[in-house]
Formats: sequence, C-alpha cells, structure tokens
Amino acid sequence: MRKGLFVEHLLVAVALLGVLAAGGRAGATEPLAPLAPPPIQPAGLVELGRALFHDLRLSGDGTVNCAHCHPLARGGVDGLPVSLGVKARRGVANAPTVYNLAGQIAYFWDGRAATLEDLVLEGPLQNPNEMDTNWEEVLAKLGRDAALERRFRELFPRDGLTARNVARAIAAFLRSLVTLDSPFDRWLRGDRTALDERQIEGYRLFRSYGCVACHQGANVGGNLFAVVGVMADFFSERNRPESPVDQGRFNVTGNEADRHVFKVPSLRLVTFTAPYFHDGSVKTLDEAVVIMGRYQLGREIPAQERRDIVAFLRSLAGRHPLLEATR
Amino acid sequence: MNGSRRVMLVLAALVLLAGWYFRERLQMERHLGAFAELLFQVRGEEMALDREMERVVAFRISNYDELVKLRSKLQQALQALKNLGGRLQENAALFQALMNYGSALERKRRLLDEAVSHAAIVRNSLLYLPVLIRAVGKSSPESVPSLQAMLDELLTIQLFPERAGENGETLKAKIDAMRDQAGKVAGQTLRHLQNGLAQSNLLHSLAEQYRSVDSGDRFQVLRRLFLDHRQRQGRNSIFLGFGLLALVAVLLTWLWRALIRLQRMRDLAERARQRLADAVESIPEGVALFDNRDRLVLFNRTFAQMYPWLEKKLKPGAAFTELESEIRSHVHRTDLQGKSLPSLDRKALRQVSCIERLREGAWYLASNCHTSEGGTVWVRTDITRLREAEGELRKLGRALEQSPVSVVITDVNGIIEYVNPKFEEVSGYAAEELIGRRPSLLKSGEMPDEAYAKMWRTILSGGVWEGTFHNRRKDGSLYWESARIAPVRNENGEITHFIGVKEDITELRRYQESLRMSATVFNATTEGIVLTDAEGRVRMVNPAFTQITGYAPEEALGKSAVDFYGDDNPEISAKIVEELARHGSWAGEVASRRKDGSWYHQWLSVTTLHDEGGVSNGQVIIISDITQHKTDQARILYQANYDLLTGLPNRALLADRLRHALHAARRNRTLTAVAFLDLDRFKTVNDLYGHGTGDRLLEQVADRLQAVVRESDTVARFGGDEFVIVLEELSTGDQAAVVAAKMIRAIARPFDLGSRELVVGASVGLTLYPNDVPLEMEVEEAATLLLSNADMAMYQAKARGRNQFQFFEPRTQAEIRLSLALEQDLRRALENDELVLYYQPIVEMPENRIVSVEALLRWNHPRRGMVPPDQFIPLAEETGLIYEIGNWVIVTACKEVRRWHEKGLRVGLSVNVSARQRERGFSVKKLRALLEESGFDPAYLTLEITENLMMLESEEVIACLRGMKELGVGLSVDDFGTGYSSLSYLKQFPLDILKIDRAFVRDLPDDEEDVSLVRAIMAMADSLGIRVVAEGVEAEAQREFLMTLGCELMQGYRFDPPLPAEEVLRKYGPSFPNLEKGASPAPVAE
Repeated sequence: MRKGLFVEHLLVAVALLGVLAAGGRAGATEPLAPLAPPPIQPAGLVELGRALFHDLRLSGDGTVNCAHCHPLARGGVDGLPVSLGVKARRGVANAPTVYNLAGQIAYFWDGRAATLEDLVLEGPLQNPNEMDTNWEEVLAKLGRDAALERRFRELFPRDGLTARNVARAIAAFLRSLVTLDSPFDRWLRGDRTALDERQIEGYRLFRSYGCVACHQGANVGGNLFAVVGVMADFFSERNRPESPVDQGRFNVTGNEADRHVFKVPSLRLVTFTAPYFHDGSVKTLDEAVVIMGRYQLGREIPAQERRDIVAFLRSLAGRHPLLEATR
Repeated sequence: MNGSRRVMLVLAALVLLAGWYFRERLQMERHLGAFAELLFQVRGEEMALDREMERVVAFRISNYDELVKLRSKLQQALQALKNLGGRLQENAALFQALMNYGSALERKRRLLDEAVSHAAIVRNSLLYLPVLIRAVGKSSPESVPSLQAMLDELLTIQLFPERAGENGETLKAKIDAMRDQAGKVAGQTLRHLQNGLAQSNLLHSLAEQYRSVDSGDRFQVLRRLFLDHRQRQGRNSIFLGFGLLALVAVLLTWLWRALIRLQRMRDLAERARQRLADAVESIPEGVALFDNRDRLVLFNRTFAQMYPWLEKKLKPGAAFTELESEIRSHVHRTDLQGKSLPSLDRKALRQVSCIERLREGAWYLASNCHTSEGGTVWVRTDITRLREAEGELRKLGRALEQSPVSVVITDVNGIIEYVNPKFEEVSGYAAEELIGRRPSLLKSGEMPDEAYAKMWRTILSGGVWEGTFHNRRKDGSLYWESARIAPVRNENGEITHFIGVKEDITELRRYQESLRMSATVFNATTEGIVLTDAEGRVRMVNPAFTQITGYAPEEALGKSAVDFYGDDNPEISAKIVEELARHGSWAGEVASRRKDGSWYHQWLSVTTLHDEGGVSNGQVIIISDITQHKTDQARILYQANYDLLTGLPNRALLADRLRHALHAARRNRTLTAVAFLDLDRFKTVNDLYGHGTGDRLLEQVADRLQAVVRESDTVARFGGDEFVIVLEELSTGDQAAVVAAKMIRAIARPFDLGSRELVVGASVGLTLYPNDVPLEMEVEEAATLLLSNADMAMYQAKARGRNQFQFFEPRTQAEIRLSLALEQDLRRALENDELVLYYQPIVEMPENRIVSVEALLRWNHPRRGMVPPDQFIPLAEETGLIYEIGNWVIVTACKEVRRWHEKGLRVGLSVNVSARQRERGFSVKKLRALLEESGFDPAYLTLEITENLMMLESEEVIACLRGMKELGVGLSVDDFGTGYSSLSYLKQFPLDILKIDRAFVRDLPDDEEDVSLVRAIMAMADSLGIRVVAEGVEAEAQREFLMTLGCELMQGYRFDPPLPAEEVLRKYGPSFPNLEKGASPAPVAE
C-alpha cells in the first residue's frame, strides 16, 4: 500500500514537472520557439510563385489576385471583417494572414486543406465569392503567355504548366514568407534587452493564464484545433445569429465533437491582423484578449494585465522584406 | 549466308524475349519493393504517433510543432502508399485491406487532433489553477488547503485513469459540497476544477478510443495479404521464366544443328586448300598466288618471312596492289643489270624480273608471271649470299689500298709483286720503283744479317715471322718498323706468295721510354694517386693509394672513384662532384673511412683531364693522409671545451652553445629553457665515501641526464655537482616542466656505485627565454641573466623540499595548466595528501540543529592552491583515479566523523558516489571493507547517488544498491528534479532521502512554479516518510518558506559553507551550547 502510494506521488511530481516545463528549467522545452528560416527552395520557383500570387489571370474577370485580399506589405491581410472578391462579392470568413503558414497543422479556419498545395488547388480560386474561376480557364489564359509557359517548362521539364505546378509554385512562395528576427525570438535566443519589462511581464501572464496551452510552438498557435467557448458559450452570447461558417471543423468532418472547433490561429502577426476571429467580429486586440480570457479561460483579465499581454504580443512580429516594403 | 542470317535472327529474338522478361520482373519488383518500404514507413510513423498520443495525454508536450510535423509526414506517406496501391486494384482483397488500414489511420489522426484540443484545455486549467488558488489565498486563506488538495486529486485522476471513475465521483462531490460556501474567486477555481475534471474524463475516453482503434490488426491483415500477393507475383514470374527457358532451349537446339551443318561444309573446302598450301610450302623460293581478281589466294611461309612487314596484310584475299605498294615502299628495285627501275605500272608488274634490295640488306631476285587463270604468281629467290660474297671481295681490295699499315706482297722468291700506297708513303719509293725488286732494297745495314736469315727460315717453313726492321728511306733517313710476314697458300696448300704487313713504330718507341719514367714516379710517391675514366670509374691506382685506403688495386678498379676518396658525409661528396663538374678541379680537406672502417683525414686534390677537343676523359685524384695532424688538433680543442670527468660540455662550451641557442630562438621565435640542476646530497656522498665515489656518481648523473633530453639539447657540467641543461625549440613552458620532472625522476632512482647503492635527489630551477629576460636585451647579456635566473629558481626549488623543480617567474605558471601536468599532479595528489575534505552541515529545523554533514572534496594543489572539484573530478573519472579517490574519501570522512563521535558530536555523514566509481569496481564488498577499515557505524553513513546512476536502471545497479542498504547505510538522491525523465524508475530504488536541487530552491518563494513543484515533492515525500533535504538554502526567506512547506532538513550558505573538519568540531562540538548531549542519533535514514 505504502509503496503504491510512493510510486503514485512520484508520478504526480513527474506530471507537475511536465506541466510546468513552461518554466523552462532543467532542459525542458520552451512552449514557444523562435521561427526557423524558410527551407532553401529553387529560386526560380519562389520567384514564379511570387508572380502568380500577384497574377490577375487567376480570377474569373481578371480583377482579383491573391494579394487583393492578402496584401503582403500590410501583414498579409486586408483589414476587413470579410474580404471582397470579384465584383465586390463578400466572403464568409475573415481572411487570415499568408505569413508563417509553413508548419501549420492544416489550412483555412476549419482546416479543410491538408497542405499548402491543396490550399491553392481547392481554395479561393474556384470560390464564386472570391476569384470565381476554374483551373481549365486559368490554365488556358496562362498558356497563352509564351514567356510564362517557358518558365514552367524550365522548372518542370516533365509536364510544364499544370494546375499542380501552379500550386507548387505558389506554395513555395508561401513557404518563403516567414517573419524572422522578432524581438521575442531575439529574447528567446538570449538577448535580454530585446523585450522591455512590460513585455516580459506580458509573457509571464501569457503563460500563467494558460494562453500558452494552445498558442505555442514556433508559430504561437496554428498547430492544433480547439473549440471556441470552453468556459462559456461564445456563440449564444454574440450579438448575431449562428451561420454555417460558425460550425467550424464540423463542416469538414461531420463529427459532432468538431462543432465550433477551429484551427488555433498563429499570433505571430496578431498586431497586424485586426479585425479578429473567424468572423472578424472583434475590432481591437485588447478586446480580443478580453474575449479569449472570458470564453477560453473563464477569467476577466484586468486592463493593466491586458496591456502587458498586448505589449508582449507586439514583440512576436518579426521581419520580412515584403512585409516592410511600404513601412 | 542464308544460314547465318537465320541464326542472327533467332539470337535477336532470344535477346528481346529475355530483355522483356527481365524488364517486366524488375518493374514489378521495384513497385512491390517501394510499396513494402512505404508500408513499413507508415507503420513506423503510426507507432511514433501512438507514442505522441501517450505524451499528449500525459501532458508531456508543451509545444506541438514536432507533432504536427510527424502528423503531416504520416499523412503524406499514407497518400503515397494509396497512390502506389492504386496499381494493386486487381487484387481486390489487398486493395480493400489497404483502404481499411488507411481509414484506421485517419481515425487515429482525428482522435489525436481532438485529444490535443482537450489536452490544451486541461493544461490551461493546470497552469492557471495555481494562480487562482493563490488569488483565493488573499480573500479566504482558510479554503486554500482543501483547494490545493483538490488540485492534487485532479492530477492523480489525470495520471491514473483506471481509477478515474471512483476518484472523479469523490472529487466532484467535494467540488459540489464546497461550491455553496465559496466566494467569487473560489467559485471560479471550482469552475476550473470542474471543467478540468470534465475535460480530463473526455481526454481519457479519447485516449481509450484511440488505443482501441484496430489499426494494428488491420495492418497485420494488410501485411499478410501483401506478402501473399508478392509471393504470388513471384510465382507467376517464375512460371513465365520456365516457359521462357523452354523456348530458349528449343531455339538453342536448332541453332546447334545449323551450326554443325555449316561447319561440315567448311571442312571440305579447307582440306582442298590445305593440299595446295602444303605443296607450295615445300618450295624453297617465296611464292604468292593471286587470282584473276588480283586477290591473294595463297602464299608460303618463305614468302612471308621474306617480307616480314607484310605480316598484318598478308592474308588470303589481300589486294595485289596493296601488297605491291607495301613492298615497294620497303625495297629498292633494279633491273638485272643493276640499273634503277622506274616505278612499274600494273600491267608491267604482272610479267617482270628484277632485283629487290631490302633496307635490312637482303637481296631478292623477283619474278612475276601470269597464270593460266589470268592471275599472277610471284616468285622470290634470296640472292643475298651471292651478293655478299661479291661485295666482300671488293671491300678487301679497298682495305688493302687504304690500309694504315704498309703491305707488301712478294712471290716465293721475294720479288715484290704489290705494295700498297702506305708502303710507298713510308718508304718514300713509288710502286713502280719497287715492283720486280726485293724488299732488301730498304736495308739500312743497321741490322745483323743473321736476323734476315732467321726470317727466311721461318717463312719458308710455313711459319709467321714477327720482328722489327731498322730500315732506310729513299731519302736516306732511318726508321723503325715492326713487321709480320706470312706465307700465302693456294687451295692445294702450296706457298705461292709472302705477304708482309709493316708499321712505322719510330714514334711509339719514343713514347714508351717516357712512360717508363712516369711509372716509376707513380709507383714510388707517398701520395695516393687514382686515375679514372670519363665516367669517374677507377682505371688505375698506385701503391700509396692502397697503403692509405687499404683497398687493393683489383678492389678499386672499375668502381666509382668517389667511393674511395669521397667524404663520409654523402652531401660533401655530392658537393665535390658538383664543383668538379663546374670548375674542373677541386681541392680540400675530407674525412673518409678506410676499408677497415677506421677514419682518416685527407687532403684531396682532384683535377679533370681533357683531350685535345676539350672533352673530359678522366680525372687525376691525389690523396694525402693528414689524419695524424687532425687528431692532434682535435685533442687540443676538446680539452678546451669539455669536462674531462663526465665528457659533458664545460662552462666555456656551454656559454657558446647557449649563445647559439638564444640566437636561434630569437630567429625562429621559439622558446629556449635553461635548467639549473643541483644534486641534493652530493656533499654528503663526497664526505662519506670519498671523491672517487663522488666522481663515479657524477659520471652516472651525466649519463642519465643525457638520456632524458633530446640530442639537440645541451647538458653541461657547470662545476661541482651543478649541471646546466639548455632545452631548445620549445613551444610551451610545459615542455620544459616535463623534461625537468623527467630529470628529477631519473636522478631519484638509486645509483649503483659498485659496492654500494646510493640515493640522491636533484632540485631544478627553470627559466625561459625570451619570457624571463627584458625585451631587446642583447643575447650575451641574456645568457648571463638566464643562468642566474635558473640558479635562483633552483634555490627556490630546494627551499620547497627535495626533488622539486621551480620556474623562475611565477607568471609562467599560468602556462602549466595543461591537463598533462594536471593529470600527473592528480596521480600524486593522493600520495602527497593534497586532497582535503570539507564538511557542509545539514541542519534540522526549527532550531538549526546539525544532524549530518556532507563530505565535499577539495584539492589543495601545491602550486595552484585550492582546485574546485568541477575542474578535477571529470579528469579523475576519465583516468579511473575516481575509484581510489572515492575510496579515500569514504575512509577519510568515516574516520574523521568517528573521531567527532568519540568527542561527543554524533552526526551523520553523507558521501557522494558516482556511476563511474561503480564501473571501476566500487561494490558492496568494497564498501564493507572500507567501513571496517574506518570502524564507522554504517547507520550514520548515507550514500548520495546521482540520478545518472539510477538512469542506468540495470538489475545490477539495483542489486548493488540493495546490497549496500543491507549493510545499514542510507541512500539519498542528489540533485533531485534535474533529471526527471528517469523519475518513473525511482520506485525501483530503496531510497531514504531526496535532496531538492538548488535550482528549485533558488527562486523561492517568489516563483510560483517552483513553489508548486517543491510543494508536490514535499507532499509526496511526507506521505512516504522519506525525508527531504533542501540544498542551496541561502536566504532567510527561503528558510522560512521551506519551513512552512514542512521541509525540515536544509543545507546551504544560510547555515554554513563547507567547513574544514576542525571548524565543524569547533563550531558544533560538545562545548557548543546548542548541542544536546546524547541527542537522538542523527542518521536521516530510517
């Protein structure tokens, strides 16, 4: 009996150590990690992807390109609750940023695309509210451009211009969009001056409130799904009726447990990407922190602590040449 | 023709068939191989996913990036597998199994995604709950303990799902019971607890579902079906292979028969051709036959041998014109009269006779004729012998005419029939004046007639006469002629003529005279003389040479002269040869060896001889032996520079060598060390045993010193029993230290002085150049300074004790930190009592009473002072010294603490034991022996083991620890918490104490995470009766806080630093009021 208890309590200690590894002691991993530089990819491929990202021929009426809703210089988002596609048609969910997509568990709020290539192949291109076209049409238009055709031949000697190769090029470009060298990453790497006291306090709060349970990893989120409304019902307290898009991952799996489950977004560029949440219903970051505290943590976070947390979140944004183009 | 074409077709068909078969097979193999590889990759990743799932459920993951990577890898591999599987659709069962397995994996992935979501929520609660409970503490502290207990219970539920139901119900009831009276914050805490409980249940149910996914079975089905499929495919391909083999066999049979038929026809034709060839072969002439298309039909071996360069082209079927042009390019053709022939056209070539002369000198009679068939036959007859005989005669005639000697031919009566032009020239008579006369015409009258008569007798009897004539020319002058006269016989053997061959030797006789005189000088002189040919090979030597070098003429002749006169050093010899080539002569001093190997010095003079054209045709080498002279010179020099007793350089030479060394060091930027060595007990030896013994001792010391330094270093006798050693080209001072240590060791060995053995020692002072002299100091001055530095350092060494060395300047010590020195020092440290134990008290709350001490090892290094353990323990572990050191620590500490016990200070003792010690042989038996040796009560001893020892977790380690425990000693875990990965193994070990690592104590009480951790450890230990020692307690606040947690034992600077033994006794000994006599024994183990 005694021995059993002994073992049991040792295991409790093990568990505690595991949980508290967030403290970063005794060789445990930090829940947050610095962003790694993007993989080395063929330069021509990334360049081609960049051109296609800005190519208007990827939309039905030639008025919309990827950058239309994801302007790179503004953090990869257009700042609207929902984006406007061809003929100013309204989308259904808030457009997420295109930075730091590599390493995420899946794509779209409901995670319906498993890879970045799938994201391009079965994404906004065919959506009537976004680009409103189809691959046949797009390939026909691109095929008339001899120079472009040649670039595809060079990069893909086997099959040249195909939908899959267009997706590969754009995915390669998306993989290169990593925001490196944020103040927080510098701090993680040992530069103690990279964060000010408020930001360090913010990080401490971020951990002790448990935000870090979901928002972890190099992307500070993006690598798991979570239900919205753990401690209280977000949707019934929100001032608008539930729409199909609010069902989240349920729309993909049909599994009742996945109702109101969404991909946890990366917080790396959170200071750029207002308005917040899948429905774009929250205008300021402070307000977003309030809601997260209330519904996910069951806690009203005092204003002073919110300011510290927001200060910490600001330190997560790294740099990228395209992000800084107009800054 | 048709037959062979058919054969080719069949062969091609065979190759194609085999190619197709192997290609099919290879493709199938590759496809199945890739499938198998992917299948097992997927399975491997699935299992990795299973492990991750367990980690998720146990909250061992705080960062999901790696998990997401694994998840997407699995997804991609599965997709690739399905793509490959698309080609297996013909095997419906296999395809279905693949799909089944895939869907199981999909399900696992989905469950994992869900589990991650829920685990995140629980983690969130676990992270947040301590903060909440602290907040509760501010408003209603009385409810904190019960909340804390609930949190512990929640954790227990999380970790022991099998009892979750029952425990969950209890916890839920507790939460409900408390909710009514809870305040706002406490209510929130309860809400979190409840939520955590609910989510945790959900999580466990997900984990259960995950584990029950039957992917393993499905994989096995898939694997079995796949292996069947693969086997079946293999079988099919073998059947196909057999079919192919049968087909090949049929075709090969047919091929065999066709080939035999062809062969038989060829044999018939061959036999007919052979007969003709045999006939032609038997003809002595060379024959070649061409058919009417001018193709070579046959030829015999003679023909081939006559034109060897045709060898490659000479084959049946070769073209007439081609062979003709090949022959033409090698021969010169003339007609039968010897007139050169113009190149012939093709028609003329069919019917022609001519002479061919080959470059090799052969002559052929060539005749080409038509054949009845319309072809041509070539016949070649070798007429070389004929032509040669002809040429020979002509040559003889010319030889006589142009001969450099006089020739005269007379008939048997001595009447001159012929004289050659030389004869005319020598005698001054023209041929017309001589023919028909007798040779006596030339008689000078200076020779006796008897000589002539003897000549006639000899030649008439058929012999050859040889002799000298003293004749008179037409102009009256006399000349000497050597002559040979011989009879000439016809084919019947009758003498028909006499022939005289004569040579003017007047000049030669004069030469011979002068040569005779030279030879006398050559043989009589005392200088060795060697003559060589142009290649430098000995042609002649005189007796003096043999006397000097010991080589007899026949040993020297034909050998390279430089081997005899050259210097023993081949470089100098090479230089002489080079000088000779450039200037034609060389003279100088050279040291060589005689035949018997002994040395001699010579003055050597070599002169190259030239012929009239200025071309070297030999050398004259003159050797004078100057050995004696040299020896005399050397003896004088040696006596001036060397110590007569030891043969070592004396002070004068030392000064010279040191100067050279310093110059070289400055130039090469290397270090030079000067060591001053003084024997420690020499005076006593001299006084006790007399100077003779002292001298022999010095001789042996000199030998030993020379044996330990390099040849390029200098060992000098400075005077009396002092030696100075100059070590050159060093890169660090340590090298000098190593040599100094070696010297000391060498001298410390006993000396065998005939009747007695003596032990003396040596002290060495070291100084380094340029480190120890001022910058820019002249070498001369520096040398003096270095000697005095070294002398001074030697005295310092002597002052520190015998057998020591000492560097001149303290700052050079910094360089000697290298591990070599350290390791040697460490080996010595044990013998020299340099290791010291300090004792850090472990005190008991609340009255800070000492209950135990931890023995801590320090090294009091003779030159470096206290060396901290982290600098030498790794070294000790590496070299294995840890075993002896460890044993020493136990014995010494036990004896020390036993002494305290006797004085009334009854405290426990903790000693650290490392894994390395055990590896090196530290065992239960050894421990018992050590305890017996020190007479220490095992109940007071606690062994502190590190977590790395436990991590080994082998049966052996566990048995060993249990064995030690049975001796009565306690066991404690050091640095608890730093190696938590092995904590689950802790239950295996019979522990008494946990020592919380200082890292967790450091930030108490401010760091709430540390607080939670220490509280958890305390709670656990308390429930077990295991005691906890908090290490590294430095502040009063830490002490107070730990006390509130119930921690009773502490260790750290707050109480005492590690203290020397006497200090412990002084502070805590019986006179100290705090100590109660006879207080319960301190062992902290139970």
